[in-house]
Amino acid sequence: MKPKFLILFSLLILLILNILFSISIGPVRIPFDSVTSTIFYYFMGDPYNRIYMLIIFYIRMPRVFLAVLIGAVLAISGLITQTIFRNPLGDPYLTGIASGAALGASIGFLISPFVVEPLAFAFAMLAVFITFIISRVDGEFSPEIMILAGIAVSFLFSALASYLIYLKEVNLRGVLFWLLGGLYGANWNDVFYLTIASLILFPLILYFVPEFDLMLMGDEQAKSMGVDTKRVKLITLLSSSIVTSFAVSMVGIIGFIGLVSPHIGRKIIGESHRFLLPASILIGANLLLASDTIARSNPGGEIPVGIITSFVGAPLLIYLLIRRRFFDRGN
Amino acid sequence: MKWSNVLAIIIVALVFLSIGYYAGQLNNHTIQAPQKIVVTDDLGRNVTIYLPIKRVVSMDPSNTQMMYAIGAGNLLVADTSYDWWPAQAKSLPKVEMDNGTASVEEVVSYNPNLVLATTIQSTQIIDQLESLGIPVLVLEPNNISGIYRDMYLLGNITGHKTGAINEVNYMKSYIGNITSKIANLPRLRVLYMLWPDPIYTAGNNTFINNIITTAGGINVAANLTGPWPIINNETVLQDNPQVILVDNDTGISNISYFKNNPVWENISAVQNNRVYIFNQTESNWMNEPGPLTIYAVRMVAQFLYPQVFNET
Repeated sequence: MKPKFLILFSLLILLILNILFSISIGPVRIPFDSVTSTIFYYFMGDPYNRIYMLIIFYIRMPRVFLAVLIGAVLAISGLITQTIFRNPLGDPYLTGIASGAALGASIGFLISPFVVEPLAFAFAMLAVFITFIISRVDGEFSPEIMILAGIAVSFLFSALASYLIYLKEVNLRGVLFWLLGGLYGANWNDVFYLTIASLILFPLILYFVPEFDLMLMGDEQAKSMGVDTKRVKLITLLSSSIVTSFAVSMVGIIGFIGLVSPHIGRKIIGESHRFLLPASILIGANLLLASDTIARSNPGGEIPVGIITSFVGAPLLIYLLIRRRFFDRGN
Repeated sequence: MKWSNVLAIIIVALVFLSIGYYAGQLNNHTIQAPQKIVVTDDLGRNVTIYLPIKRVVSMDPSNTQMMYAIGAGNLLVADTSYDWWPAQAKSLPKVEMDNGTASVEEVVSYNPNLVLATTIQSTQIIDQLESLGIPVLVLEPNNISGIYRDMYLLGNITGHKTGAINEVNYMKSYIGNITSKIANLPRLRVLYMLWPDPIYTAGNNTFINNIITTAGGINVAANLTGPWPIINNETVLQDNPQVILVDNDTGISNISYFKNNPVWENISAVQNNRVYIFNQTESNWMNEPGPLTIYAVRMVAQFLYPQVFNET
């Protein structure tokens, strides 16, 4: 047991260092001692460099904390999808969230830029509900049907979004930039609302952690061991979908974090959800934060973060897959 | 025997004569055939064009405008639904565009012997048209002298050389009149905003950068890579632009968008109310390299140095 706590503790330390590092770097070079002195003077009420203060407190900090939160949200949703569907390809967008949000955003740009976020959220949730309704078979949610229903709903919503874009009635630039995704406009309000949503919904998920290990053995097996599989699926999938939809409506569709974080977690800490869940959260937060810091610090202008998440995440997963194989042979 | 010899000589002579005649005919024919010239377009492609040019389809408003400006507008048989200047351009038949890309069938149906396009058109469409024997010139100047070059090029191939020379001279004197007024004034730092979140702007090697520089500004994004880079908001804070130019497509309607933001409200342009939001026509001037570019230069110069332009 002890090494697993040690791993979690190391991931937490890594995240804290990552946050400090990310706050002190960016396209504008601020020396590390100026970062610390600006923060210190700001809280002490002493005179400080106003530009540095704005950059640190109003641009970098909200963006850093939003990256941490969204990385955590995507990782937890990815893990739940993989566990409940018993499918290693599970990612947070499996229930149609991405296409739903894209359709909502397209309709939003048709009306006004200010309704883009609420509509993206509403349509992401609509896609989730349709997927849930289709996959209800004999009062139970069938994972196989839910995967297919999610794909069908995704294609339907994407087609509708594409049709709107095709009609050219929509502000094309807006939709395309939105679809690329990114944490550009992060502010303290975003951080605040996403924190509230996570505080409400994460406990609902954490409550079922013991059941997750049993669910991995299959629905029948889990039921025979006293798990109310329907209730677990409904509550955890729904809570993770709500908070993911919320995150997506803020920053667009950021790929790969939700898929890769739980896998990295499994490789370094094992299948037991008691450790895997916090590990995945910490890995997702670290990965998205590191990726976004690279994306925004490029001196030639920002790079869409999705490109970086794949560049950072994919080699990491490949390395772990290969290392595991050598390790197994050694045994 | 003698007679048959004479006959043979006559027949041989006739054969040679007729060959000579037909050869002469052939020769005449090649002279009358369409004249072929090879020109280089803005992508550096060598395009073979058949003269005289009779029917032109324009797939971009900027190209349409250049044709009209040099006096070759009557050669246009179709343009796009985005065309708005001059008034005649609006009433021309339209090639249908899906997401800014024209349909090949539609273009071919106008039977053009020259198509004008920009890089908005996909390379597949350009290749397809050229494989059908329709030459496509890609005209997308990325600075003002590029507009002059393209106008001369169009003038040469359409037989409106003097029209092109006159138009270029007019543009040069118009712009020269503006630059001479601001020559000794301090340059101002300018942020051009194509989209607000993320902030997309115009990089160094763009037409918009050239307009800003010509009108007396320093583009704060000139050191970023790529034509349309994303500029980080902390970089904007550091560069502290004195003037912000906002494209009409952003959907931003007034300065309160900037005033009520803890970051933007600290920027010089916002504090001094020097944020200029283009209307649709002004955005078009800014984005369509052609004869109307002179108005874009005048507009930006007026935003930057109102004191100079209000006097006159």
